[in-house]
Amino acid sequence: MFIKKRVLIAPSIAAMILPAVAQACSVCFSGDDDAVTHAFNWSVGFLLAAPYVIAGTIAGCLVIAYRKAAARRAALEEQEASDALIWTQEESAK
Amino acid sequence: MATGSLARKLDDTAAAVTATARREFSGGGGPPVRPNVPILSNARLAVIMLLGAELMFFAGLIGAFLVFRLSAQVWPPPFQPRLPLGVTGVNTVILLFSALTVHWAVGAARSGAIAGIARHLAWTALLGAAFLLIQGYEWLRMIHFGLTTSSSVYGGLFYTLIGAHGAHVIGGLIWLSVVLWQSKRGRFTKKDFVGVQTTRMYWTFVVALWPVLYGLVYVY
Repeated sequence: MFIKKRVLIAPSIAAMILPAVAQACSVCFSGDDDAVTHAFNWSVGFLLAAPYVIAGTIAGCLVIAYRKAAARRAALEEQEASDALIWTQEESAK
Repeated sequence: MATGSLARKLDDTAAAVTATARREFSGGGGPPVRPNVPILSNARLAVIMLLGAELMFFAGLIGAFLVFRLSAQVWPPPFQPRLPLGVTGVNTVILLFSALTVHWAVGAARSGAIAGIARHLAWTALLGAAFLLIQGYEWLRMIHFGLTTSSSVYGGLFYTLIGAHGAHVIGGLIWLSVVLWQSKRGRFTKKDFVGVQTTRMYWTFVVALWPVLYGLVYVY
């Protein structure tokens, strides 16, 4: 059983070590300094960065909104504390 | 600056909701009650998510454009008509101005000038329609000169990218028309104008995207 597994895994490892032999790369059709390679590199880099930039911007907006809301809530709580005190005094006087 | 502006708008909306909720919950005579108010209205959060998805959609299209543009030895390809830089530049200014008018619509809503909302939204829709008409005219001319989706990758990319943006402008015009109709029926008040705010968010996205596409497709 162990040997059978090794027989199955060995070609996979060989293919990973020697990708040129395996021809597993779908975009390996040009050289390192080729214009097509540069084009793919820029495009892939752009698409890799895009989700992080978009998600980061949205998260930044939400954090700023949250901080502002927290500051507003703190001010509101301070106001409510005095409102509650006034209300209690008025009720107790009835 | 845009983030600060967005945060300020979020604050205003939340404050309006808080004031309304406080009145409703306290009933006028009971002890003060602090309702649990979200930091962001659901409508605005939904539009932010929509715009995030739209940005990724256009990022995919721009990524495809970059592959073809950067790998080409000669761009535009030989025997293909050149794109009209001047007219489209003027059209860009028209669209950029429409971002100002939609911004003024929110300003009018915030200051309580309800009639001003409809007026500024109508101007925005008019400028957007003018942009589309000029684009349509230029498209007809380019088709006449032989630039079609099947004439080359150049044509295919041009019509896909610019067409996708045009479809979003049409969507924005429909959105503007609905909000304009609502504002004429008195739907918005000084305290509640989230519909105008979401319209501005979407329209600002459509306008801000255009200079990027213009620079990439027409100028670069």
